[in-house]
Amino acid sequence: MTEPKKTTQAIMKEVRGLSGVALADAHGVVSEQAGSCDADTLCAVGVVAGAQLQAAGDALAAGRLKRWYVVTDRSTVWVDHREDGLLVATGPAAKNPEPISSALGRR
Amino acid sequence: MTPASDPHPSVIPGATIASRFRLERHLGRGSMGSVWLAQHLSLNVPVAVKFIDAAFRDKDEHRSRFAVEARTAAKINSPNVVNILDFGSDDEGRLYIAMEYLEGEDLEHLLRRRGPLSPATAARVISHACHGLSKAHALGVVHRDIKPENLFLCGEQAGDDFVLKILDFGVAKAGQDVRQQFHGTRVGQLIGSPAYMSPEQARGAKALDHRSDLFSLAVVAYHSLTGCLPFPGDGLGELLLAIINSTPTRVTELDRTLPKSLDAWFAKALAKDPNDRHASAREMSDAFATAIGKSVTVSSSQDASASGLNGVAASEARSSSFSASNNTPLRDVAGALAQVAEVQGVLGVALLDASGQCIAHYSAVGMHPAAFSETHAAVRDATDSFDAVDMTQPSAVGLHFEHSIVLLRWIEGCPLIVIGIETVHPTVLSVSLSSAASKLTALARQHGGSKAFSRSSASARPPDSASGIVATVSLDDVVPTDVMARLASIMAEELGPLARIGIQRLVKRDGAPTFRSFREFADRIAALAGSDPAQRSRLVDSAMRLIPALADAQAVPSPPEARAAEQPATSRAAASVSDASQRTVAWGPATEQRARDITSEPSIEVGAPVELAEIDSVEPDPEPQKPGKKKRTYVYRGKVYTVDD
Repeated sequence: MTEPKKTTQAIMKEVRGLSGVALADAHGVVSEQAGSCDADTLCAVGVVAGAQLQAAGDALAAGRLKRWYVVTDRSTVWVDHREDGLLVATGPAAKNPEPISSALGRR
Repeated sequence: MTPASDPHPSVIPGATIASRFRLERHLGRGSMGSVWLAQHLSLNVPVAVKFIDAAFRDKDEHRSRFAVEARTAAKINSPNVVNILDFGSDDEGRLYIAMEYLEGEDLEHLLRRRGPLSPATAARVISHACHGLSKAHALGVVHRDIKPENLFLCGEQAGDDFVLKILDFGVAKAGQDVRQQFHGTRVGQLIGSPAYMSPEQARGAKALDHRSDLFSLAVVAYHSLTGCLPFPGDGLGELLLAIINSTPTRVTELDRTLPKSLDAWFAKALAKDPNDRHASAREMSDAFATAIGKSVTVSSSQDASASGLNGVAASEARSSSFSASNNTPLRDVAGALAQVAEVQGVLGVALLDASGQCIAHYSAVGMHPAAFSETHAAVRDATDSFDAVDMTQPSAVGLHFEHSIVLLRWIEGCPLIVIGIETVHPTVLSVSLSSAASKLTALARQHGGSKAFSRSSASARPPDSASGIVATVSLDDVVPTDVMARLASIMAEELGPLARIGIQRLVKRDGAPTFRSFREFADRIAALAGSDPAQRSRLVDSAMRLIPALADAQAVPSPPEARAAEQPATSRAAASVSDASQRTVAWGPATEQRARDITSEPSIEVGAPVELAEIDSVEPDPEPQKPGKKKRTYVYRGKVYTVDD
């Protein structure tokens, strides 16, 4: 379990509608987290799912996958791929997840 | 008024204005001045130059109104609003507005010449006008003088192949900055042409909103369909009273061939209370298309407008790309997809069945339905991983790639998927997709679940569906008009209206580009950026993303080993499609065959990047041909490839 740190705490404060935020390296190893979420599982899933989604982008010549989200009836997971890893955030089911996705992409 | 009687003695043919324009001939008169055909001296393009008359030019009110016209129209970036190129005053203090020169005639002349329009032609007029108005209204601009004289039809009216442009924002009123500059209208003063005024205008109301323009357009529609005005009156007072109080005769009483549903449309469009009218120009246009019996409505599409297609015609044209039939449910499916497809920057949209097979799709760039199925399969595999986090099924997924955005929704287990270029506004696309998903959900529930979609499509396969090809595009196909319209928008954002004119000129002279020549075409337009190579490069890159996969896939003529050296890391599609053995699902079998044909081209040599300074100085083939030996030139990512034919 990692300790809360500045980046994730700042994101929690600045982006409304999140229940948890985690930063991980390219292998999904969590480096910091804030809020309540199963950061280890989320980041691991983020890495695996991200690779599979990149396949969709390859087929479309769409370039590198920058960020994505999945909304279910209960929750939303946002993933932002960065040079050194990924940022994963979670929150309740969002009607319009795009603004938070964009906000995380700017962070 | 003739040129000889023009109040400016020096405004004569041959005169030079502000060192920029040489006047050629007098075109006509507006309410405040004269309009001349002129030649832009440095750009060598024809322009229309409008002068304010001497009687008005010393009055602040009229100078302000003239300035408002220029600044208001210049802000509105729409193919259905006349482009403003310049505004200023010459050495003698004459105010002028230079705008694009339009060939055609205004609606008033057309109605006088041809009489009432057919419902389809009227729909085209309304669709284009609504598109232009929606752009103006989005900026808070109310035109306030919509009438046939201010609706100019460019192109061929006989074949109804025209593009409508809204003219004369001289009495427009906008919020904020423009309002501060505008000293013209006093409270209670009537502005606009009385016969087409809204009731609130007729009362001299201070606050007019966009619904006033919609009322005026409805009067234009009434006049266009029946040849009569809905509120006749012998004098101004009688006319204004009629507008405020009387109910117009139903159009079907004046012309029994018109659809009954138009009566309801006019009842709403000509409602006295603005709250009872259509809420927006787009809604009004869509409702009209529906009223005349067109089920698929993409009526306010900028792309359709720019391409010379009206909403209805665009719907009809697009329906060939849908797996559409006369079966009602699927026609509604096509309508829902069309709503998404008209969002600027959308490359394709599809509704799949629960197993991932395409039920209906549309793509402006010829994307094969299998591309949507493949994307969905990758998403399904990825979201399976989420069982570890949340066992419930996803209801929405969004993917932001470098060059594309992919959004998915699920309707009764059926995926609805849209693919757009990366510059598409994600929230607009998301909301549009959600709206379509809601409609499809309601449709499915109404018709017994998502099987209704499949039942519809079963009888609706196009004749060649056995080959798996619904839309196949080759390098020699002309780039779709939707894409050309988007190209114009992209270029106009940085280069201004001149880009649109440049595109129009090139298309008029050489025809629309093919996928093969698209980059060269974009490069010519980008040359208007002048000596800034970064800006040119950025513009061309943006343009190329409008046709991403297909252009990349088919424009790479090099053999595998040369390609490995030349190809940028990001052009994965080029590799995957040109090497057919590595790719089982692409843009259709014919495209793969085409890709194989291209990779077998015999010889390649790499030339210098294309440098085009002036659009007029460029010939279609920058590489001179040797006698007896025919060469073909490809342009790919900034490099010219010359291939022996």
